[in-house]
Amino acid sequence: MHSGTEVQAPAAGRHQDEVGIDLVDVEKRFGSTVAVSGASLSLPRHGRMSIVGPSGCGKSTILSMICGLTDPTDGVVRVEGATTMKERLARCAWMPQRDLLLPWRDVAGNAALALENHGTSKRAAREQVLDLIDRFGLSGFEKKYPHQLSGGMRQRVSFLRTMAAGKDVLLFDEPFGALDSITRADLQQWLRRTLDEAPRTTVLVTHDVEEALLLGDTVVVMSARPGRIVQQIDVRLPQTESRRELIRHPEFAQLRDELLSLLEVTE
Amino acid sequence: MTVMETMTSTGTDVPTSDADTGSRRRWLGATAKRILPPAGILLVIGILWQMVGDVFGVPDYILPTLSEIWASASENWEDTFASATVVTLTEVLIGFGVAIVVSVSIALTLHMSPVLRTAFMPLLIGSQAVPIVVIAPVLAIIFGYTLMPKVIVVALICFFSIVVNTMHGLASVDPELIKVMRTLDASRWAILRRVEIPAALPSFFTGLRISATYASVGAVFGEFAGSLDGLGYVMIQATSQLQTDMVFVAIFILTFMSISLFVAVSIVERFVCPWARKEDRR
Repeated sequence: MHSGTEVQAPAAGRHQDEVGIDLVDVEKRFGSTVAVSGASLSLPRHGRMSIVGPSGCGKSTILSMICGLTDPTDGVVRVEGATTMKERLARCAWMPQRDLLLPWRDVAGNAALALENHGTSKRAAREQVLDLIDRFGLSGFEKKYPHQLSGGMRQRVSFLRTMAAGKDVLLFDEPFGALDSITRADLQQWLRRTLDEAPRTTVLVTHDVEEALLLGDTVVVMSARPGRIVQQIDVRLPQTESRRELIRHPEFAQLRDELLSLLEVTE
Repeated sequence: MTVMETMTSTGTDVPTSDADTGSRRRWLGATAKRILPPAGILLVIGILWQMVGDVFGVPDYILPTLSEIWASASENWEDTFASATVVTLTEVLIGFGVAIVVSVSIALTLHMSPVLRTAFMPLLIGSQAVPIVVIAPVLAIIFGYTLMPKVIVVALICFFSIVVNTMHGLASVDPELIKVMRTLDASRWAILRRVEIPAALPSFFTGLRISATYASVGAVFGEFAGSLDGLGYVMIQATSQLQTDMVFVAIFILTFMSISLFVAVSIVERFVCPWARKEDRR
């Protein structure tokens, strides 16, 4: 069940194992409800994983456990070798579906949050994120407030805020879920490019099969009640110029069909 | 709590920064729409009031007409009302200030410590069941005819709604946002400072607005219990001499004081958290 995907960007100067995220026989219970059962998966450092499944299959719970916001009831969760919640939390940045920007802070102020939390002064933190704002195609919007931005822009700022934390592991919980399909396509393309330029270990939770294939080099399919991992599929797709070309590609269509059939069986 | 909630939406609008002539005209129209109806009602009440005295001949020691009240106000302004207003206003402002400091400290402490919250909440609610009218004379006995008992009464009457609303605001932050902040390496203190306190500001101001309307009542209670000056003192003196017009002058000044404090709080709020209003409109 373990993926055989190659490590995309070998970690420079890392003498530890190259495993980014590792789950061994993880179980999570809330009272008598079993949210996740017998989940094992592993992702190399700077690998990209998508998790798809019906709602209630525990995919968000897995994300919370990786992140260190909660601990498994049973089993081991390892993030770059770290097993305690605190250590995992220090290595992961988590981004939920809603942008959750602070309405009293402008774009630069929101982006600077993590740096300020690290003890950087407000002014210096703003200075430091300007470069990132530029790279995210948000220059000119530094001083705009969230209520002045469109949904897609807000989500972009939310990505920016997550990235600015400088974490090696990024966890996205349906980040495009609340967006219209045009904006979503645009942001998917944009996120692919951003992650190509600055590779990180990413886990993306989604219920959209296309999105899972576009943004993951391995896709985990889950089933509900109890949340179990049904299959892990490696995505090997040809390099294409645009998202549209990729989606049109027969290999893409085949993988999409495979995933959809898996999801049908599990539902 | 419903009363407090509805009060959040009160206050007036202001033209947005991107005001072109069109939106300016719209703003003027909207302002007129908001100001004209209450002004009309006030005018009708004023006319009826005046008629009660002029047409039906109600004696002035029962209900003086507005013109009599006005005459009394201008006649007694310099030797009585001016100084009394300053005294009461001082009590109101100091008491209000003390209430803010104490309430915010209590709210922050109880917010940060669940144990203290559980321990003190019944006491806090119980404190509201003690009638201020009874406490005021006791305070007058302890502190004499000084400023102190009035300030305490004002603060006592004001603090509760500030505490409750501020705590409500502090606790109203989306739990997911707290989680996001934790993954952005925020300490408990950083979450309080960068998220919870700013998020609580609108609720805090709601509490302030409610208190602002109580504050002058508190000062008068305090003065009733024992004083040698202030609007409450003037009212007691005037009542015993059947100078009802004087009582009404004091009432109008107190009302004006409350409204001014309310408006002042709303203006400060607009400067402190301009985003709150815009978020609502989005």
